[in-house]
Amino acid sequence: MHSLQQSSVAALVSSAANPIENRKKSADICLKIEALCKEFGDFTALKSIDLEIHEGEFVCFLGPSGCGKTTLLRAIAGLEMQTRGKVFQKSKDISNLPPQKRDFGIVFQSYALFPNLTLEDNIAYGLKNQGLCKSAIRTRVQELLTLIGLEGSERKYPAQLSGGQQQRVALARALATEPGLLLLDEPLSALDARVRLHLRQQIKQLQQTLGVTTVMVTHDQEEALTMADRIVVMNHGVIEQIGTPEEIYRQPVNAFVAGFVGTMNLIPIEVESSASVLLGKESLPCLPHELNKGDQASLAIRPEEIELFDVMPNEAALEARVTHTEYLGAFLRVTCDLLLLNQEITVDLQHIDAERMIVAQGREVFLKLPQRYCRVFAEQVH
Amino acid sequence: MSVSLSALKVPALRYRFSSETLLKLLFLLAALALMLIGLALPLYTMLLKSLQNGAGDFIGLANYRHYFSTPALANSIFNSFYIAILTMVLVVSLAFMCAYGITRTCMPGKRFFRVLTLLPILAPSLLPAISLVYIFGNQGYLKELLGGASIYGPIGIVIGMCFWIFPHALMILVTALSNSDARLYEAAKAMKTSAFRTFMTVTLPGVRYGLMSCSFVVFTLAITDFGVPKVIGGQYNLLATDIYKQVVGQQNFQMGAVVSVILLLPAVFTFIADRWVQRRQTSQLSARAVPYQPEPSRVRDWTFALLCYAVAGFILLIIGTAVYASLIQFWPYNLSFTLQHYRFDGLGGNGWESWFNSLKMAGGVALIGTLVIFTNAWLVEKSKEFPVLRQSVHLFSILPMAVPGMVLGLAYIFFFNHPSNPLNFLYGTLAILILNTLIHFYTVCHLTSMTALKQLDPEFESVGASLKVPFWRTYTRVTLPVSLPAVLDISVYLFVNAMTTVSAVVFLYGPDTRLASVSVLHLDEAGYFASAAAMAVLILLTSMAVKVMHAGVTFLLLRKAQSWRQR
Repeated sequence: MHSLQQSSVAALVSSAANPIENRKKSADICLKIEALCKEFGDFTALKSIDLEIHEGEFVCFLGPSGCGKTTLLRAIAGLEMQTRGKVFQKSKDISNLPPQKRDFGIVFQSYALFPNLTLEDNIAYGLKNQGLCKSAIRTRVQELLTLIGLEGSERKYPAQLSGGQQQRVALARALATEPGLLLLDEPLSALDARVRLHLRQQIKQLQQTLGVTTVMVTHDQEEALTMADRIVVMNHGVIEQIGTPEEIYRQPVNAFVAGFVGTMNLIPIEVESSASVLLGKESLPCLPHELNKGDQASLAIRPEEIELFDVMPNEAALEARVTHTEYLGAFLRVTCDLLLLNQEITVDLQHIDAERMIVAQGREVFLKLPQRYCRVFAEQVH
Repeated sequence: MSVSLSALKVPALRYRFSSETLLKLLFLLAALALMLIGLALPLYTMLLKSLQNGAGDFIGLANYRHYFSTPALANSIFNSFYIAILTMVLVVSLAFMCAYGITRTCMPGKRFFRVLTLLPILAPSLLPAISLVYIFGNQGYLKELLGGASIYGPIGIVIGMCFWIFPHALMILVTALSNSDARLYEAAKAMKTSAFRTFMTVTLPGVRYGLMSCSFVVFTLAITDFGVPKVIGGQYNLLATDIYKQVVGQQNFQMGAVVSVILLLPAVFTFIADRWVQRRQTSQLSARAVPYQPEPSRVRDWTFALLCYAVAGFILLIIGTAVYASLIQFWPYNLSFTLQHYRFDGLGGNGWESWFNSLKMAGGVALIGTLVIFTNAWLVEKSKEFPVLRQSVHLFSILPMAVPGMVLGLAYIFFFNHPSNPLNFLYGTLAILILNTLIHFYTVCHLTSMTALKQLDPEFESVGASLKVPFWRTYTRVTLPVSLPAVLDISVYLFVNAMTTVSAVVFLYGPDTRLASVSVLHLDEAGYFASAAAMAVLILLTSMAVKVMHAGVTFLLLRKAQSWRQR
């Protein structure tokens, strides 16, 4: 199931042309973070974070648990005070402002809907403070309920709703006051897979309709790839890479990003020159890099980027023996051992290719690693 | 911990003070001031007093030397420990068996038994002592059972303490035994383990922390209790009664302070040990545990049923005796029915006025106390600013449990009665009684509030802040309504304890603020046993009425709230 999702991620990304992105580049900066640090006692949760988020953009913070993504979100909200550094919202310094003086709406993983208040009262919770008259509040609540597809449920209590509905109410409550920034803290992780898929589209659609700048924290790469305009990949309190989903997937800047997003073969190699590496004794052309000759490094290539032959091809190819195959519907995942290196490598075969070849456990196969996909990364320091 | 605190403090200081933050700071400072005035400063004054002579000069440890060189005084230490340990062994084993019967057997009448065991908590601890005098005293109707031994002394004290401490122990052990994992028993059964071995290897290890905690609680309650030994102790001296004798009988305040410090020590040590055990107790039970469901077994069920019925019978006997004694002319010579003992006419004391005082005091403590304690707990648990301040308020909130009532009462005399104290005007008023009782029973309420608050979504406050709603509105519109059952529990706990307590307030009432529980003591001292019993029964009935009201209100509230509480 998991690998299935990853493959669909690959499909989504390669087809995702991103015209919006170019437009955003020139847009106004909505949020700017400068050298932000957060320490909890001896533990450093965030190490000097710099980030700019543009008006109307959908940005995802992606990373493994404990990477600091939620802390960063809470620092933006003012729920967590940074140890050092500054936060600007529309060029106004909000670094030392408490949450109630900042302009944002937030949805938590638990939704934090008030259980003793009806949906109407929940959504109107922030409106009552804005000095709106009763009828204006009611109109706005109706508007929002329609927006989230729950019209007619205003007298219900949160406990009477399903998880997905509660999630939408939390979203409506956060949007009610028309904040300049919407923060989503793992909003989908408490839901089951089917609802999550559906809500993903709904949230994205809502965000585009309203044009509200949105920051979402997630540990689910598929969620990030499908929803975000830009992804901020984080690990151990630092930003590893910022880029569009396609950039993150196709052009990861280091071994961590390469390994964290999607499936990636990371093969230990030795650097031979600025455009080739030594795989065991075999020389292999690769993408240009800046590592020094003789360095130990990793060669990164995705399973679907490797070409597999069941008979020796004309060009140079690596010999391998199939150790395991997994049938995954749309494609066949083949795990083989590189003979000269005793190194495991995973290859995805499209259904059509798998059909015309005999690939079974124990068979010998030949692999071609195209130069344009052979990325070379220094070994991770962490 | 100190590292993280100081690290958090720096940004907190840089936090620009908004009006809301400022308000929180004021509330926290007020909470801290309450703790300083209500607990820390009085105890400090008392400690100083124990190092001074009658004229107020510092004389070092001379008072303590005098104390330990006077066998009549120092003997009380041994007596107190003897009584407390004996009570602990008896109560814990009896309560364990009854709790086992409730949780692990199918004995009939469980609910009835549990309701019945609540009764002793609702009466002042003077009541069992008075009843025991009627049952086993010189003219007692079951005097022969003692075989010539006197009820005035260790026997009476231990029986009386067992009576009113038993419910506390039972509650702790029922909770401990309820946290069982049926899967462990199934595993033991699958491996053909004998019932005895299963008990030793599964049941006992599962409740060992509960048992330890229970022992500490019983020990502390027994060593600090004043009501029972005061009435039935005879010439048998205990630390708690010594304080009273030194202060009220001999006006020797310095020696009272010395005994108080000595009584404070075991209470503080058991308190520390208990905290240590509690910390260990966490996460014993995994979330996936399946609760144990006992299967019927005739012999076992009826064995435990008979034991529990015997305990219930004894409780009824004690309470029934007090009620009976209050309703007859003159035991044992004129057994005709009368209500005259409930008139309290011309008996010294203030009679019904003291009952009204108690109502006022208990109502005040319940109302003010609940509001103050829950709000303080909320500030400690739910706000993010001022971590150092919040930690100190939390620490001070847990401390009162370690301070025996007698010690707290005496400490208040020293602190508030000092002529140069600007708060001197409080002395002898209802206000000081309310303050004292509030602090005396603070800890349990604080911990209950914390537990209730921890069950709420931690992000309610963040959501409120993000919607720019001031924190007090989220507090009154969401936090309080959702925690209402716990809040009501706290208020009833405070009311009942304020109604029944004697130990702390016995030093603090004024001519116009004599309380019902103190009246029981004075009526008994003056030899009006029937009226003392009547007053004790009156207190019991008041507590019961409040308890029933509480159950009714909780039921109605929960029914009203069912629309949103259901899952």
